[in-house]
Amino acid sequence: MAGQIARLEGITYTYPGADSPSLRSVDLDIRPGLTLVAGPSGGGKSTLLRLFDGLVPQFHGGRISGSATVAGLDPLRTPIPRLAQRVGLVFQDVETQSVYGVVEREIAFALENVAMPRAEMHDRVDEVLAELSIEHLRGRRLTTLSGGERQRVQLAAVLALRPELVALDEPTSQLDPEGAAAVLAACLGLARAGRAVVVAEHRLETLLPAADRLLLVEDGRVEEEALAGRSARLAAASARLAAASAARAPRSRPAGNSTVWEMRGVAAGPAGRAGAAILEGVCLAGAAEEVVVVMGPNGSGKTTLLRTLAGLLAPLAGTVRRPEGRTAYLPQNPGALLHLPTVRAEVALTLRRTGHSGRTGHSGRTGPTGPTGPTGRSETPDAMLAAFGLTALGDRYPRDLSSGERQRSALAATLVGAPTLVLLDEPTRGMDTAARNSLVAAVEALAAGGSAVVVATHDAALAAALADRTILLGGGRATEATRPAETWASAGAPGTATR
Amino acid sequence: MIAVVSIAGLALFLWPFFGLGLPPEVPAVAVTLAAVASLTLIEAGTRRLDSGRLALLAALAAIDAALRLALVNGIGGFSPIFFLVILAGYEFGPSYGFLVGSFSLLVSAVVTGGVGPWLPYETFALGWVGLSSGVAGSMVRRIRPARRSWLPSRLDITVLVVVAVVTGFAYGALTDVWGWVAFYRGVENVGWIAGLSPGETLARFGRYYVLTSLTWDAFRAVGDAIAVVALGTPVLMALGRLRARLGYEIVAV
Amino acid sequence: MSSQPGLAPRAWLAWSLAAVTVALSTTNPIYRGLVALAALNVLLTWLPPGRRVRPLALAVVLAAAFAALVNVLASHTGADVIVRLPSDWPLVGGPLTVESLAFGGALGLGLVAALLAVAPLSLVLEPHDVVDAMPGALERTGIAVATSLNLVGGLGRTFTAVRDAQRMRGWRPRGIRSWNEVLVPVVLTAIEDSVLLAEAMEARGFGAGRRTSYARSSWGKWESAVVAGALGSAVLFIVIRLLGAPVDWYPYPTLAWPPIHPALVAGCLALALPAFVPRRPSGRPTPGGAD
Repeated sequence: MAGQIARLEGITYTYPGADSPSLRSVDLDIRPGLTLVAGPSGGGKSTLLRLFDGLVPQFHGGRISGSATVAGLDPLRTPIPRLAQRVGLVFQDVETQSVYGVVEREIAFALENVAMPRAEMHDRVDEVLAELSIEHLRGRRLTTLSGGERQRVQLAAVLALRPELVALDEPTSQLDPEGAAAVLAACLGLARAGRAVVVAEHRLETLLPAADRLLLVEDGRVEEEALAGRSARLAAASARLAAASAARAPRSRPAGNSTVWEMRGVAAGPAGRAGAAILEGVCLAGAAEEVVVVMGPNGSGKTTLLRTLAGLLAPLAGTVRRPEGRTAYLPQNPGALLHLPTVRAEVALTLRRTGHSGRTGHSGRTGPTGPTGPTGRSETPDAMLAAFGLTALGDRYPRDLSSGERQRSALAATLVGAPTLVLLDEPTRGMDTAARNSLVAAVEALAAGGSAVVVATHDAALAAALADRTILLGGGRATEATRPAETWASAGAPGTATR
Repeated sequence: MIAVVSIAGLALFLWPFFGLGLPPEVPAVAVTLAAVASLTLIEAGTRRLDSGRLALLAALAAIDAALRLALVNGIGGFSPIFFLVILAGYEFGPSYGFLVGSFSLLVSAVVTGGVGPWLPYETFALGWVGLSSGVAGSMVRRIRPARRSWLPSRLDITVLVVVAVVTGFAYGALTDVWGWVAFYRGVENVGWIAGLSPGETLARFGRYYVLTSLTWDAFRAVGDAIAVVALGTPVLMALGRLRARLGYEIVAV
Repeated sequence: MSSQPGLAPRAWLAWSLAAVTVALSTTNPIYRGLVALAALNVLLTWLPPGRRVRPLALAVVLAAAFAALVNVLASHTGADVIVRLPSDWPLVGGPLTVESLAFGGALGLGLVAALLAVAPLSLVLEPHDVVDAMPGALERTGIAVATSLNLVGGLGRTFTAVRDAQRMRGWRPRGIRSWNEVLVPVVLTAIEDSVLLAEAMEARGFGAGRRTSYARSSWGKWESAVVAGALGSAVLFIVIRLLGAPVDWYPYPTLAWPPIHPALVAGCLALALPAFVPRRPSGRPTPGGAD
């Protein structure tokens, strides 16, 4: 068994302008094999991974103490281009990592940077393509690839330099289950071949069985966790979830409940252009206090369905009926819409705009006469912040927050104002546990308060926790799932795929 | 540095006014020269950039291209590219401003399919818009040194509005010269003819300009000014923070 | 599928430049017309299926008509008067003549020819081909363009998503000021993207040092033929003019037929060469193999 690839001793690191360190006195070593890194968002996982190839501290600046050795080099002082030849880093966002437009050239980018002779470059690219079994993608345009394929290309691009240590920072958080499975399988393959692979992830089910070690990073501190213990806890959690969803009583409905939203004979396409319909003949309806989950493979039209239902897209045929009152819509990557100076200001903006001034007792609808928001009562910005655990962050600039905090802020800003119809598009993408729990709680509160909810998602666990009904999209049609549990499993999370 | 060298490119715009009796192939040759010159300048500029500034350059150019694809083109001569170039130049300086202008236009043209013989000239002209904004920014910073927070002051916004209006017209006039010389050669009274005196050439161009693009440029100038006022503050703040971030240093404790 | 520009992008660029040079260097409508026809032929031959020509055609016709109109209204020279506008009108006052109409037509033809000659660069080539067209000396520009192109798609989607989301929060577009809520988030996202991109580039060794290039440019006999024909044509025009033969056409004061020189006609026709280049069966040649 080869020795350690990396060793950190007493690393304490603070980002420039930050109040508290992101890493506190970290001691650890990395050996060949698969090391998993888990922890809440903002806790230091990404910082730790970036330390390995010197991005922290060299690219980001800041204050650092302690010592580190990675693949025989000092990441605090060795220039990053040299470190890059020993350490590879794959990032979360698939698209912003790409330089070129064609797969083979993208893989060769790193080789160009080290001034490798052209003939050698071609050989190396061939090797790497073969190693990840993606030779069939060689001449393809990156934009024509699926997320999973594209992320594997980025992995190949990093492997081109033959690094000793490969680190991946939440590589599957933006991918659908199929893509995620493929990427994680590639990581497993690398680890089995003897490389040191470090993967930071929120969803650990797939990798846990094959992992050699598990590190927990929280609040800047790194602790090793027993694999067996974590496996057992995960197994127990999913068993509980399965039991709970099976046992969940159907939500009580007001007597004589009729549908509040309906799509009849709807044909819809992304650009509203005739002849480009993704969905046809869609007939769906939903009632108040009901959570409908829409599932289906990528490209099946989940986003188009939601946008048409929201009224953002005119249907190519058919009619759409929405309930009176405000419709809330949470797009993918919701953090992008935040730009005001404070989180509170964002929440207050929605309240103002939607005619709910937020003064106690003066919101548009309260109590039994109509929907109440996630706080269950008339809404003020502070109540909303509390509902999402954002009270401490109310005066912070939302774009400076960690990704989980940002997502919760966007949820707060979008779901406020007692909406009668709530539409959520892939809400749990890249979310950590705290954010997911807030989301589930918020959706349940909204439903209990009288709103109708429609969620489009890949996430089987979310579907299991929330769905009253499940709709399956595929081949341009929308069908009601008769056996929801199976639908969740097959459309489901990476944990269910075996490779 | 790039900024200074690029001024030499003015010769490519102003040669028609010097009363030389040049053969008619010259406009077309000038296009090729301008193309080579602009690409050389862009390359020289990008070679000096670190990854952060290079990536920012790419991102700013991408914004404009994306907006143009998503939105219908702006009314009249206004398009979102201008105010971003002005703001970026103001924050980062004349050379970077020139790069942002010229490069953004190159990418926009490639993406929206607007590649044509006018491209090198527009590249230079928009580059100079960024350059002049950068010069204005440097001057303002000399008078009133580093802002404590990143909030732009009244002075900043006022200066930017002036820059927006002036460059709105200047850009239009400069890019018109090429079209005038190339397409309206030989037209009496209003067209360009080789060998006329500078005064007469200028007068003809003046008439051409009023006839063709004055209103268009007015839309652009006014639109840019409004954009600066409405959108300038948050964007300048974000650019300022990024600039600070790119300059952070490591402190080994 | 990889794209099939058929001809290497650099060859297209050279051809376009030469054709524009020829079209603009003479005011003779015969030559301009021939160049326009050659360029149109080339464009229609190489137009990928699904690309629409109508917007281009419309733009071209409008531009040409505008140029002709400017000439008619402003030049006031020529012997055969059509109509006479009051002289005290600024700029447009004075006689409008047949000759100025004819010359305006020649002007319009020049515009048409130039625009058609340049059209393949937008309609036949794809944006990423620009990166390939860059010579090795422009490698950093190539990288900047490539990364920029990659970011465009995501930012476009961000823009649509933000606009949708803000609309559902009650935003309405009312004047430029209101676009604040949509444009600023997009700009902020772009700035954040740039940091991520920079990190990714550095993590793969990008720096100030020396670089080599992976791509091998594909240049075959057809590329050489097209470029030779185009450049030869341009040179021919210059040479014939230097020899003193009449190349331009000036219809004032009275209308007369434009002069025709057989060598120049041949030169114009040589510009149609790209239309006869056979398509490569396998698209982009693999770098490992010779062309």
